[in-house]
Amino acid sequence: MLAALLIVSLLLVLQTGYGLYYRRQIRDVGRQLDFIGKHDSFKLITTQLQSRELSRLVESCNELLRERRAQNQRFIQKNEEIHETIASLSHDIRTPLAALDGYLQLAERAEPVQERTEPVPERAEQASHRADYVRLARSRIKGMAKLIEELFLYTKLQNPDYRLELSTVDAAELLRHSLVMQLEPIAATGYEPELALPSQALVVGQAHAIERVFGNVLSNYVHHGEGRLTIHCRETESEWEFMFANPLPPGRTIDAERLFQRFYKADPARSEQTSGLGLTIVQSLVQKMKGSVRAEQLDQQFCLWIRWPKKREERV
Amino acid sequence: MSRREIDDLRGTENQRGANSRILIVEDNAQISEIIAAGLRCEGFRCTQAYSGSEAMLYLAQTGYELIVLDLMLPGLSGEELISRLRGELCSSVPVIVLSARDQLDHKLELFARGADDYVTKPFELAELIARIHAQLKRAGPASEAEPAYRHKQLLLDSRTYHATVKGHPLQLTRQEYRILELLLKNPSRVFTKQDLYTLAWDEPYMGEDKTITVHISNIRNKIKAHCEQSYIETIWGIGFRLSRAQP
Repeated sequence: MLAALLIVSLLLVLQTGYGLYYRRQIRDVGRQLDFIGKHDSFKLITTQLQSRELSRLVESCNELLRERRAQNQRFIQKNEEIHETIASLSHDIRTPLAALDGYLQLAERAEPVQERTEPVPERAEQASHRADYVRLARSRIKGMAKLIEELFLYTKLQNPDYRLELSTVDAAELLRHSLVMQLEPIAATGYEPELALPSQALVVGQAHAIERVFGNVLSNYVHHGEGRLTIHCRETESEWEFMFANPLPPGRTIDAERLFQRFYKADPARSEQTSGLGLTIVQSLVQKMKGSVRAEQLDQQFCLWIRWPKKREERV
Repeated sequence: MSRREIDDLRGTENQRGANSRILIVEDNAQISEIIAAGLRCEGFRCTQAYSGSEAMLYLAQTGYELIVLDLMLPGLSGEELISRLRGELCSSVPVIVLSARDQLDHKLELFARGADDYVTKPFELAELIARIHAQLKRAGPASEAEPAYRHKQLLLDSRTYHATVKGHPLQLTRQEYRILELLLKNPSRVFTKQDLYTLAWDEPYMGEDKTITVHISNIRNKIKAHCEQSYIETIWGIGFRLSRAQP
């Protein structure tokens, strides 16, 4: 009888002891959470007790804490990207702005328009009449407007919810139009492009976006390429592929990995009046149309492949 | 959506502009002033409204030959104005819209609502003026077609559909005539084969472009019989343009 009483009381003591220990563990977890919250720490919670329920609770808490840590890192990274972007842009916008203001100041001091007998000057050194400076100023404005417009487009395309309205369009004809629109700058290179295009290439896409893609690729050739531009077109079972190739200036190499990255410019001094967003926009637009784009440097040739899915019924 | 064209216009336009009244609806005072000044130089008479409701007031009192309309207006938006113009006022006055949006946005809705053309900001005054002339020509009272087009030794008579080179008549088919006329009307523009189909013949393109090649070849041969000079240039194998006049 006494033995039984003794055992029961012992069990009671043990149970209470366990209960108190349990409560202490929970309080400890609570304290750790408080600490993590108050000090923005990235510690995880630890516990000595092996109870199943408590372990599961602690694991769930730690899962949340890990996610919080990852979010924080993404936030910091985004912030850095924004600052980088602003720095690049600051240079790219201030430079033409300075030139613009400069030309207008020169215009203020220059002589008014006279009878023109000499040819229209292309460079500032040759300008002397007010009208010349005004014209030069206008061309800077055009450059800036294009740059800003590209920036807006780029920002819009970054939004994953932004969708293009797709339909069946003739990519070959759109390419021909894009070529015609850039007739002057392309002809100015002195090289006639070599074209092998089908009379029709029906793809699923958006007309303006495709024209934009071709426009940017051609612009890129005009600004950075050398020699003759070659454009070939190939049909596969489910896609149309357009290949653009041009020689590169001797010694120039293209980093195919970074080519499509924002603000990548082959010229480190960023001297061209381009935004550096041209090919990034190409990639974004093509991807929004469910196509793909790839670039590679083969010897001293720059090659770019763009593919669009074919109209559904035409697929084999 | 029909292709927008800027016709190559010659000097008669100033006279045509002289009696046209244009309503400019733009809330930005500077832009409004720039447009008004530019149009007045061309000989147009301009009224400036700075809001949709102000525009409605003017429209109730006077008639206009054309409206230049900014979409972003305080109060009554540009789009609503067009709706009311075509709906309540039953007006078919041509409307050219000024938009700060880019081409990737849905423009079709705008055209469905009754606008006739659009220009995106920032714009060239010259382009706006050219489009205004094009709209007025389209809407205007029986505007006679240009009587003749001339280029180097080539002469086209639009009333009789006759073409001559150095005085010698060319036996052109109707389709050949139309192609030549289109090239002469737009001397600096490059047309693709598809463009010629849709613009010269007003026919849907069916994926067959050998026809155009044959026609161009025929035209060239017919001209060559009388004159050695080149009149049609092939650009990069993808388009055609009127050959430049020799300096």
